[in-house]
Amino acid sequence: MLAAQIAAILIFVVMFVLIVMDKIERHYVTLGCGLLTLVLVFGLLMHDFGAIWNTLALENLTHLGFWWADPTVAHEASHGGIDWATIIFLAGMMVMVEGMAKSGFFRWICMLLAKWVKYKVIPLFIAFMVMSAILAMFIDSITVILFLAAITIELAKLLKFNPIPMILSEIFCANLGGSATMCGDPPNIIIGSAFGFSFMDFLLNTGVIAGIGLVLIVVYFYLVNRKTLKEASKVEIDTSNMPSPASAIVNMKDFVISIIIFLLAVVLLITHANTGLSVAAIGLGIAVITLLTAGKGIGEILSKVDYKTLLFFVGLFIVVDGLGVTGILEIMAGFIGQISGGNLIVMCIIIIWLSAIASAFVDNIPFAATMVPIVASLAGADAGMLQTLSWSLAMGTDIGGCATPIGASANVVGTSVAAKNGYIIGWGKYCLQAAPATVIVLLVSTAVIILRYCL
Amino acid sequence: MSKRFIIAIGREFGSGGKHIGRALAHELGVNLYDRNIVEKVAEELDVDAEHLKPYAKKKRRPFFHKTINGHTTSFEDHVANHQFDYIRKLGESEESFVIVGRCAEEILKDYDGVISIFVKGDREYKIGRVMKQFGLDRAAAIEKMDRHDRIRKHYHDRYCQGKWGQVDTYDLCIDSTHFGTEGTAEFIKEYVKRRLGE
Repeated sequence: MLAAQIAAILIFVVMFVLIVMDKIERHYVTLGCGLLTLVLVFGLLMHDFGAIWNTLALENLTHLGFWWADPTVAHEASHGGIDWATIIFLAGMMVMVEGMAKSGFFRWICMLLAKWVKYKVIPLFIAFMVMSAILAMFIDSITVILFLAAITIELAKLLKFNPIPMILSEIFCANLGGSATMCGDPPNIIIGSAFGFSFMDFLLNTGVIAGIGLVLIVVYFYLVNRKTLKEASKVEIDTSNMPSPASAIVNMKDFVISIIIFLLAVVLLITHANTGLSVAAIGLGIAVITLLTAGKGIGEILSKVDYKTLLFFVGLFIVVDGLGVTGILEIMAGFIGQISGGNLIVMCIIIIWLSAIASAFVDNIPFAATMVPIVASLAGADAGMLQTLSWSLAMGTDIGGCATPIGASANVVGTSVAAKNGYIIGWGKYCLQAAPATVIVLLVSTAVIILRYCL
Repeated sequence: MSKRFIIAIGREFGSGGKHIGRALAHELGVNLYDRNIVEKVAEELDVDAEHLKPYAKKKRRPFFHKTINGHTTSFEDHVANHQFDYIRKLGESEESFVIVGRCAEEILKDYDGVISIFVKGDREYKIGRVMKQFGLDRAAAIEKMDRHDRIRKHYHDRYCQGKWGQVDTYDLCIDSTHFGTEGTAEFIKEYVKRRLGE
């Protein structure tokens, strides 16, 4: 077992280093390391072919409970391996979002909001932050920022203001909004799917923290950028020639259908604890409806689905399961348990801040996937403790990623969209605004979690 | 010259490639593009060129970047791509011009009339030129020369399939030591004329 443990750790470390080095596309990295885990760790070193089958977890797809669970019966936590529920849900949401993007929904909503606030810079700044957070609660933050940043730059050129402060605040709020719900950020989907939490579980716990955080963060970003914003507000601009929201709609029929599908997804997610539908079933259902109503646009929608991210998840889950099966995660959990002396407050603080610091520099998705079994091990049969540690992990990974330009996907996409338009947001500029904001929300998270669950 | 031409010059630091490019552009009555491309890009994007300049032809730092779905936090990559787009636009136009560096020989390889040239020089010759041009002692000149060549090679090979300074990459490789910058420019001009059949 020792050789298998060493091999599993080495593969995991190499995977992390290669992801951070960013020389090879990350899905190749995780798939390569996943294959190595299956062949070397499980096959050659452990001679355990059952472990390979369990890790691939294909059998789960054939169980009724994977798609629908009796809402009156308590959910059992999943047992490691590839988390197909997360992958199918993400794929379904990607299909839905592509359908919405194709119809012009995102551009329309941004333009509508800009018109509502009469193109005034300060209200626009605040409105886009709030919209970023709300959209990211239901839609992946990459898509939210992709559209929001592009439109912010377009408006900045028309209204003659510097878009960088607005883009930075939108990125932060997309991450913050994502932390509020189960489907907002990949770490939450991983946590929720592993422990059987519902959409409302997240909303009533991480959602409350994110809500408090959002109020503070809107004030923070306004105060930090007030001089620039006030100067920009003084510029007199003729807004009569601004692009109308209606001009953003590519096809009215597709537009209406995409809104109905989006609302259906929201309703299904909010009620899934009552209906018993799993997130995988919701994801698959939404994808099928989107494709059936897309007509000739099916090919275009499918071609735009981010398969690389889905493959990245497949490889990642295998590598993390390598650590789980060989008992490494158990050892790590024991270590955290020992340091904390079994004290829940200390455990929460360790998990929030360790997750946050790690997520600021390395990808928060592999970190969350690794920590999920550790949290399960720490909590044991204590359901209350499991919830408390899960919210700590969710807030740590979701918010920690805000601190640096490489911490979360939204940061990468936002700064990239800005750079493509000639606005360079370097590490210094980024961290100067985002790092203090990250610390503020982490302090709020720590305080709320301790006061609400540990005392 | 009656036919459209593009002279793309790669060069070793200290070999006088930039001066050769300037002399060629002057002699042939065409525009020279080198560093000024960043300014042109900034003008097109309606941003301050000073914000882009620090990332032009700079070595990409490892561990500080991430790429997701084609979106990258590497500003070096963004500024490079902006410059390449601008160079492609020049390629699309009817304009004849001389361009120094910026992977131009590879970016423009599919356009008509492209002549790619690499200027090298004897090491002692280059050291002497760098010492004189920048007022440096020998050690500092060597350090500067080697550093710039390392950055140029890294930058070029990151974005191009052809290797920097290798004969296969260019139509003509020439050592400026023997004719000096003016003489080498004259030599290249004759070469270009013959290539264009004039």
